[in-house]
Amino acid sequence: MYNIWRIFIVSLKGNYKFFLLGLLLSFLVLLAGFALLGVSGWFITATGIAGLAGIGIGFDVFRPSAAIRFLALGRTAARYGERVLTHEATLKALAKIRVDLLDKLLQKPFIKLQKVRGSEVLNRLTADVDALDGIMLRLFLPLLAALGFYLSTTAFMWWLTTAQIAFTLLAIHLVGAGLGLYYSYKAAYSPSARMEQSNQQYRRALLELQDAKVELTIAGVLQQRLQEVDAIAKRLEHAQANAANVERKAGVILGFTSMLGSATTLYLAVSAAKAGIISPALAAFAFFASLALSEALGPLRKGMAALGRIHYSAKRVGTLMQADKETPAISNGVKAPAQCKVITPNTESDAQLPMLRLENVHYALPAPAGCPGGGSTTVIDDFSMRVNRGQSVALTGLSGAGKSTILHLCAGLLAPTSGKIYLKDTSLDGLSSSQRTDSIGYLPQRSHIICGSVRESLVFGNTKIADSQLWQAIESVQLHNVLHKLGGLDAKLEESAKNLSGGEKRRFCLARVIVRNTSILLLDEPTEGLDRDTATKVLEGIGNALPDAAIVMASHRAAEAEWCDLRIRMI
Amino acid sequence: MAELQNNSSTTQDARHKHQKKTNSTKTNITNVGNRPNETQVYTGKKMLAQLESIAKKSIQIAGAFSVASALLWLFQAAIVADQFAALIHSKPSLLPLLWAFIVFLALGAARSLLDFQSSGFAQQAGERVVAHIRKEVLAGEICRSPYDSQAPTTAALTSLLAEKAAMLHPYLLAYKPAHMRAMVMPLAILCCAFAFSWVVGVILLIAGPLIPLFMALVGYAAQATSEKQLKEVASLNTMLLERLRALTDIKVLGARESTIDAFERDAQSLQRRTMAVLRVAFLSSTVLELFAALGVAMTAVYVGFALLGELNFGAYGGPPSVFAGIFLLLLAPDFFQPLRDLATAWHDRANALAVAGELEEMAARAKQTMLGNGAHVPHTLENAKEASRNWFPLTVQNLCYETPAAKVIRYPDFTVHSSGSLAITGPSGSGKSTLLALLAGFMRPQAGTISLNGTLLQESNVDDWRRNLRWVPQHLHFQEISLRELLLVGQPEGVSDYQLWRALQQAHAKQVVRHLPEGLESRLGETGTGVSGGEARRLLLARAAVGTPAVILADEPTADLDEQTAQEIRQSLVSLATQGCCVIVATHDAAMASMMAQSIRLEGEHV
Repeated sequence: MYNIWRIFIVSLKGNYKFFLLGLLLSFLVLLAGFALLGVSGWFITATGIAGLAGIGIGFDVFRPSAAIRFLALGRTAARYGERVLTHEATLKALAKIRVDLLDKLLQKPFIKLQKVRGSEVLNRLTADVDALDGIMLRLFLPLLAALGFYLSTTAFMWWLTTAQIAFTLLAIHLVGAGLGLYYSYKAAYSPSARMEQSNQQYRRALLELQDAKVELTIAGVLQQRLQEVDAIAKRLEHAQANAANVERKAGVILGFTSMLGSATTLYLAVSAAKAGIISPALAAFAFFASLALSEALGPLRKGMAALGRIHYSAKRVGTLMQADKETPAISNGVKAPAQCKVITPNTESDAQLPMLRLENVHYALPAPAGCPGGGSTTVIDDFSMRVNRGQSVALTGLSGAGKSTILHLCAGLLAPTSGKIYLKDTSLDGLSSSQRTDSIGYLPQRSHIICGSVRESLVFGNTKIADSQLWQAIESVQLHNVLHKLGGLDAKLEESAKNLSGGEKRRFCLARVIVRNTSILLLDEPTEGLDRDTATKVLEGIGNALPDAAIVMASHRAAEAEWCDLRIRMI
Repeated sequence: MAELQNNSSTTQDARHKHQKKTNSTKTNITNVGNRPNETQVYTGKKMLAQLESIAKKSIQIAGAFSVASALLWLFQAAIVADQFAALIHSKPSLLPLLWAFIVFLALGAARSLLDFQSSGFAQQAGERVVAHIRKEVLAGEICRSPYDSQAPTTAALTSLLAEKAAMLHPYLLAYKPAHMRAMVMPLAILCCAFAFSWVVGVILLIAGPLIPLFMALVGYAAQATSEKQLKEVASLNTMLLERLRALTDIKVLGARESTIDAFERDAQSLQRRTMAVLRVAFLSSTVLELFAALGVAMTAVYVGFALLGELNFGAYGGPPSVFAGIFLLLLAPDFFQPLRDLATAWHDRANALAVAGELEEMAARAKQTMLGNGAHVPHTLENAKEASRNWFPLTVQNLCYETPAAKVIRYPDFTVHSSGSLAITGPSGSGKSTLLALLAGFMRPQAGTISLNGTLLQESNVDDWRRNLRWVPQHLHFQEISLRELLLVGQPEGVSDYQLWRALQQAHAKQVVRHLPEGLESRLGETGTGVSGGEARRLLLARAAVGTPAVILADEPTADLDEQTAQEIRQSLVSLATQGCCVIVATHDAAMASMMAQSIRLEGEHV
């Protein structure tokens, strides 16, 4: 409930005028419906009595009939206005929630972001947020409008007919609607959640079955998997049926409520008329109006049907809204023997501050499970290094020796368990993330190139970069021929840059980092997948493009290590 | 499923976009697939009818219950009209008041129950139909060859079965019963109206059919707007997915603010477009309500005037009675209600037709099946080594494969022994990967034979043969499973951790796993996040080394790798070959090829 309430409050912010006006209009719509049916019933009965009494000529037919026509038209107009207003405001609020969510997501630590699955988060940002439109449109607005409507019509009925009729009708509707809502809220959550979960599970199983078809066939488990997928589909259908049953039962509660309300009104109004307390025409008014009262229940029914899904989505979106901005978790490092042989490059002049300085950096991971002879938890132990302006350092060594970890630490994506990292004379943890990204260019092992024009995906939002600078960066990674052939800076890159080869993609990502002209470059296997010639040319290009940058690269290959001024071998 | 004789294919994408709609645009996408000359529109009508026939009875009962519930209102209305008529005439009513209350309420309760039962039957029908689609389509598609170019894309099939198939629920739950009611109720109420007053009948008769007319006009306008909006939704989703895939890059490139700004602009523009569509949709339902309200108002006003005696026409032999007036006024809204329900459910039908159309299209596609069905063949650790030797020598003779593009690949004859190794070389597109697929039984050759120790590779023995194969693909597709599970896919029970680590060592992958934060329990991202390209390839190789494989088929094992990693991979493969396993690689890499005992070269281009 808390999540639903919070999203309700978020939606209201900045939009409350629209919602208030929308609420007023939906209240008027209900009221006009009430008046329309009531007056029509009263009108026919009254004219019937007048006709029988032979006083038809004296009966004022024009005002009631004009009122009926006015109500019919006015109700329709109000309905249109109400829908447009409330939907507009809701869509605005949802657009804002989506933007906020993406922002919160981007504030998460790097390590967590690496594990984010695009398709899953997409589902939250689209389907889950879409489901939230019901909070306003199907829950709060109809509920508030219905409440206002019940109270005002009860007062009116009381004044026009009897307190007994007015309050009995109110009680029946309040109890019925309340029961229906309470039941839906209690019963619909878990089937909806189960349905959503099994749906995700089914999707995943289907994707896996198709993607891994070759592997599964070879392993002789394809038919077995197929049966498992069918079983998941059955569970999904079962959850769907359960969710539908809650909705159907809520429908019965509301349907019966409206029938009980009308039947009771019929009984009370006709007996009151027989007793002469009210006129037959007013009795007819009461009964017809009781039918209109049920109209407030219609939108509520839709709300109840959607309640399970809303509840579930609100919870999921709610957890995503709680941004974890905390710096990367520092593990409770277990001390282990030093595994790093450290070479500290000689700095020629100590007067000139090194661009990047690591002092006694230590970084540890929890022990991996089930690795015989494992137990080595320290990835980096007592590592120090200084890199000057224009100097390049290659970190070499086997996979897993901690090369990438050093780069993560230097980029501020991981926090050292102990030790300090300085950019010139400033400690890295004293910098804001935008200050960090302004002075450090980092090329991860894997990057994603966004689709769009070459220019867009190259500048990545940094609009201040001139085209000539872009071409410079492109030339430095030897991509100018390829991109010219593709059609220059305005050429379109396909989804996942399918129109570039593996090596071209790597160089494109490199250009993306170079373009930002930072004083420090951290490159994780920058020439992976390039042949030796190209690799050498690309490395020279980087040196020429950013002669003053301090460069640290994690390197597998001789070409990279040879190009660098200094090599640190990590064991 | 329908067996339509048609080979054309509709672009999945266009279908998909059309599918996501929430309004009532009709799908009429013409074919823009491989063969542009053939145009075939899959309306889905035939398929939808076929699907409905699966649960015909339930659908009929659901409709009948729903109509019965609506018809009961006529009796309730009569009871109420009788009460008020008696009140006005000061005569005793047909039913005493208490009985009127009881019967009215009982009828009301019966209606609730009928509606409940009706939706129950519709729900059951939906379950049957959806389950049928999911099971049959998947079973039909899974036996396709993994290399069938006519196969629907993974995303398309997944979204068809997971989301789109479920769209038949609202169709059966809302549209079908509404359709039944719309066939019966207006007619029944019209009969009542004409029975009491022809004027009321005429009012309803005119107001009723005007509704669909106006709806059509407004819907026509809505179509263009909604298509624009659909495009925007699709492009926003693509844009968003791209950003979500690039989350880490956005972070390290410091592009958070510009990304958020761009997304905000797109989200707002989508919101404006959505509103444009909604306005038109609201307009159409407003028109509907207006007619309904005017119909009721006109009935009320006419009846009122007639009762006063000011209008002396319309009923038969004098003005209508008070009973008739009230009765007709109570029925008038229900004359319009089924039409309104039908209009609300209209998009459910459009969606159902689109899904059915897609199913028709899929059923009409040409299908290439693989040999065997991937069924389990019992296999124990103990006899594995023995069994694996019985398949050799592997002999290929006069093998010939014709691609869907009518290109014929003729393979040279060759024989490989149980601890032999073979390199398949040749230019891109010469059929290297195809040969691996043929050897694994994923494709059926047009001519020639593959024989295993003298027995032809065929339907009956292919699943058994495949149990002894290991496949090393170029790319890694880690699913939502841990590394341990990945290594153990299809392995018999009882493979020890020791064996896994030994396989990892053979593939030079031990260090890779030791440095993953959770070791063998690590779950890697979908494209192998957390390990480099070379490391991922080594993990795949390690998987091939688990147990005692008879043959390893590797497709371009050294592509896209730097020299050092490539060399490690080559050595791993060679060391596997020396341990009694037959290694067959398709490769561009001359160094790789030279390390294999045998080699064949494909020249390609035999058209």
